[in-house]
Amino acid sequence: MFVNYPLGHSAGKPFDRADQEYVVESALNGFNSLKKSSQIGMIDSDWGSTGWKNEANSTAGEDTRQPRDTRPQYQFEEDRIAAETI
Amino acid sequence: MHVDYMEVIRKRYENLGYQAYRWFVADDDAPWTPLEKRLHECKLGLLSTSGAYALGQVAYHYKDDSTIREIPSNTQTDDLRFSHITENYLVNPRKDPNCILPTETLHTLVQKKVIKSLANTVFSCMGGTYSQRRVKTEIAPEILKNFKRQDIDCALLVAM
Repeated sequence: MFVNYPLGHSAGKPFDRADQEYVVESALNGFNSLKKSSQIGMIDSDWGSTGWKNEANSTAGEDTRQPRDTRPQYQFEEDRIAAETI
Repeated sequence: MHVDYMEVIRKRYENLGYQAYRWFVADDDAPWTPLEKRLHECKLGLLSTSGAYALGQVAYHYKDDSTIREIPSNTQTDDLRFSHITENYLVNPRKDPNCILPTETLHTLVQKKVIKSLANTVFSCMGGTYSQRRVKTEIAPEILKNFKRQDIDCALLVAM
């Protein structure tokens, strides 16, 4: 099932519980509505603004990915401390 | 306007002077397995490729990390973290993890009897793995093994 939202939002809009429930329940309904492998169902939710699509369609600019570092990349320093003390 | 992700990424690689991006092409269609129960009778498993981890767990690294994390499905969202090679897509998930790891949403759908239950543990991996071999021979089999251990009826994959 596909929802046409910006990457990072496959399960709905932030802090929008109604939207999240709709998107996820719609995805689960794919277990019944899809009838063959490789079939893609569309979830009829609309992000609203469209500016993100211009950015997503851009083929120019910098590589925005992080360097391919092999060390754990903690979100916060406290996460590192918590992980290393357990 | 739609986003042609596959073609955009091919051209982006070309413009950056990288080797041609090679999308995975499956040899065969995935085997089709219809759901044998009604959805409201099902125990659901969950996998997110967002690089989610719980406070106290080791974070992912950025070079084809093929490890997975087992996250208790009742983990408070304040204790959920993310590390992924495409950090730029994590701005909102870090504020509200349900954007990409919908545990609270699924608990609500259990209460509403859309599904019977959510597995006690959900899984995450760092989906920015560029080794097709590692995905096929390491990540996918490990996820499958863990799903089978949970005795779930079906699983939801939330891709990032």
